[in-house]
Amino acid sequence: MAWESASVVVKLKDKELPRNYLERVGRELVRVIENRTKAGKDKNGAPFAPYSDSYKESDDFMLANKSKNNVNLKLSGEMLANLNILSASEGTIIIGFRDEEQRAKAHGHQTGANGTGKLPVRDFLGISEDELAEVLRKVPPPEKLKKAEDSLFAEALARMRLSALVGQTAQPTKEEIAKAKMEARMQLIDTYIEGSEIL
Amino acid sequence: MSSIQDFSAFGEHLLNFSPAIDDAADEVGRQMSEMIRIRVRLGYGTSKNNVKREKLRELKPKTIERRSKFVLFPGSSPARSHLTMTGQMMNSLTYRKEPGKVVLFFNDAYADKKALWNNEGKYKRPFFYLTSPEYQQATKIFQKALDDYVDQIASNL
Repeated sequence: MAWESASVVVKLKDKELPRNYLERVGRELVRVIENRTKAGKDKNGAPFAPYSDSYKESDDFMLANKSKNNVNLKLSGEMLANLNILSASEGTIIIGFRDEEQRAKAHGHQTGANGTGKLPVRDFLGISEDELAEVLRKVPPPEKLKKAEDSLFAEALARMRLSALVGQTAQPTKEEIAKAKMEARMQLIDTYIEGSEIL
Repeated sequence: MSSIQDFSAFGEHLLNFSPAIDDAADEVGRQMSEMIRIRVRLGYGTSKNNVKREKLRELKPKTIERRSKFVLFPGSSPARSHLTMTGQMMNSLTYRKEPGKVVLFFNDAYADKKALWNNEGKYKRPFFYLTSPEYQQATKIFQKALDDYVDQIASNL
């Protein structure tokens, strides 16, 4: 169905970023969309089309205690509450709606009820380049951390292999390599806590 | 290797986490009571936690006739099934914080009785649970408090 496309896909350069980092960025992106929508602006920063007079006079409008001038796509609040991360892996974050009803509502807003004119287009589901840059500045990629960890691990592995090469020890086993990787991480965390320049 | 002294800053930050969670609990209480109030006024209930909302059962003709003799809550109408006549019951829905939890309740004894009767009585129209989007919203509020807190620790290291 057409409304299945009601999602935002963000691809980051580094495909090896850890999942928890992608999820952290995803949560910030969801907040950006929520806050901008609550402030009455679409994905391009333009104000939403005003509510129609008939909607402003409707029972639902009154019962939900809505403000006539604050166009925020919120009646029950369920649609924006359902906006969430659908997946986060291999450098790609997908944001959208798991619930069919909320996804259909979102699609209705984005397309003006499928172009029928029953609703004005209020295209709220998206992220601008500026918004993404701001989020990435707030949640900087752990590249420095990863590079430092890799370099410490490479150093440890090189020492183990050199030792094997000169006949002092056997070639490192998988377990020993995994242990060296863990030790590199712990060493890095120590450095992190001691306030080095890594971060 | 680091000594235990290196973690003193973490310890201080962890002690400061409690007010952040406390503020988030207030926000959850405020938003959940408002979401339930609006959901019910729009005519939706739910029979258990973390499921989709459902339309409240329709009113009987006798009830509709009785409601037509009263001045109803703004936006209401005699045939609308939304547990709202004067608005007093749902207006009294509020929250309090207890250690480790947020409790939603009706702060008026009569409203509380009516709510219980509607939720669990003979002719019930269950509504006093959280739908899945309401759960998701509560989770988002706590998650934001946690994210902000972690950011704060990271920026102070």
